[in-house]
Amino acid sequence: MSDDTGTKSDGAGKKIELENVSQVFPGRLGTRIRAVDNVSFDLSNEPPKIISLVGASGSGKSTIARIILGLQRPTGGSVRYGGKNIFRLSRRERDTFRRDVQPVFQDPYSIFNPFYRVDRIFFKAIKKFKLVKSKTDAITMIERSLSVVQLTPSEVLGRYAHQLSGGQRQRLMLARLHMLQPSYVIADEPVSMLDAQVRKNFLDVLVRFNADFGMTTLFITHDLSTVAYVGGEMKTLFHGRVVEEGPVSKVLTEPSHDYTRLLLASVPEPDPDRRWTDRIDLVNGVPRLVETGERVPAPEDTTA
Amino acid sequence: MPEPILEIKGLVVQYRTTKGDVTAVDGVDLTVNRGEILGVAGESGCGKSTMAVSILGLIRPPGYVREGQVIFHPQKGAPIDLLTCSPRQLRAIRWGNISYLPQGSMNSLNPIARVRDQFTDVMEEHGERGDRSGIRDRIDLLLGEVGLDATVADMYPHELSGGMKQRVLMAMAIALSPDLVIADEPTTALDVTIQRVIVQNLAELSRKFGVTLLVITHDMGVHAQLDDRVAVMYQGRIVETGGVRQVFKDPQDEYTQRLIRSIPTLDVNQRAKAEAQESAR
Repeated sequence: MSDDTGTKSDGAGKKIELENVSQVFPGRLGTRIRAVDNVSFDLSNEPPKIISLVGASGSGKSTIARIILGLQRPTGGSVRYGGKNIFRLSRRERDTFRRDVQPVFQDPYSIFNPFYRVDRIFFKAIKKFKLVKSKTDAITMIERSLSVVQLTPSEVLGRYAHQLSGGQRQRLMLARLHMLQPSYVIADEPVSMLDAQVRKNFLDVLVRFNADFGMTTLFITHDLSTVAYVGGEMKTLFHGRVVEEGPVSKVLTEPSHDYTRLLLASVPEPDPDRRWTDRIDLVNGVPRLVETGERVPAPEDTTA
Repeated sequence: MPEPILEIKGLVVQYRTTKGDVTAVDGVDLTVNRGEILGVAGESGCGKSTMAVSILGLIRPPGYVREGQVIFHPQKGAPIDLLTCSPRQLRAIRWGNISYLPQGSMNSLNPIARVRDQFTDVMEEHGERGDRSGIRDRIDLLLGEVGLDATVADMYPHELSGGMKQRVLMAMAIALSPDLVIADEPTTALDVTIQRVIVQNLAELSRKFGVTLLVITHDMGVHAQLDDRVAVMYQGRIVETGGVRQVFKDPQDEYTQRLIRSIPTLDVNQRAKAEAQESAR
């Protein structure tokens, strides 16, 4: 990686602290759904880390992302940034926070306004955070960030979101991260719509940003193979609670919680010689792992 | 000697655009044998879904079949080209002989009809004889086959989760004992545990009912666990077809090799290994 580190966000050193965060949504017939249930953890930038938040749909992982980003006010508990509640920041502090904590969402299409060229997400950010003064400097800055994520400026600038592929759109978001140099990246299922190879490239960039620019990344996903790929630490979320946490290398090899085990057992291993010897049964909609000991083998090759 | 149930010959499917026609399926030859589970692998945009809808004459404008044949061999009777037969013949074949589980099929249930009524519609429409109570029992039985409770029959789609809807459709797909089920991305957009249940269900359909399965998915893990044979599609062409073990262990085509290499795994040291390989080069 080159030495061009852009202009660093001035939020360095500030921690994000979640304390007993809960989110209750009103459900059917007056019931209340606890999407997030008393979750507490810290995100620190010293040293920069990658932390994966893993869970099935409905486990509350996206809600946690929205709460950290200040997009949703939790019904209980608090989120502090640099020691202050993120919903009680001064205007100036909020600007710092907005730059220092950046989102990457699942569908890179939805964040682009279809009526504007994609350049706008860069110019808007440059203006809002006063990164450079002149338009020439702005263009130089954008082009440099694009080249870092291997996008050719002439192929993407001046275009509309629908003219670009999903991979290109997601890389534009990476270029934007490079330009803004946040301390924190909150990535909510950023690769679930990408093909394997494009997915790997995206994750490689994210890991590189973590190492080179010290971006602490909260990586939210349901896909354990991407967690294994990025490494770092992980937390398993089940019914709005963190049920297991630790280094990825340990949790994925020696899971201690049944739910993590179930998630691991659900991943189809891409090896026809290692077909499942157990099965998952649904008992009243609740999945349960049952050992059968029998394996339906892949057929012998008939063609030599 | 394997007996073919479906033969795709020289299939070319194009989409009309303002800048000329774009070829999505570019001369596909593929034979599905009776009783087997054949997987079609490939990344998004390779043409696998376009191929699936074209087989059943379900391609919609601006897409159209430019040339080719899709010969279906029913259990009894003469082979028939699905691309040239009459709409009436095609209607009779769908559900009855060939069932199709479309991509995102959990969205293809009628939102304002109970599951039972949707089953009954399909079964009566396609000439399932028997009284109402016979059909009733059969629905309960079918739901049971995919691990659903009989009470699901009296529910509306919005009361079901994505995985339950997917399984309702699988039960519907086998309602008329078809020879062939074509499943397009059957596990996409479902939770991992439910994905696995769906894969188990598909394997059981094949084992218990002898249904031939054509399973289209980008998920190589699903192919490894489920398929007898795999066809790999790239840029509208089938680049390699072989036994599941051969394709995974000894891929011949260069694209297949790349595809196999890029499969995400649960190996926690994979990135370190890849980097070591890279620097060793």
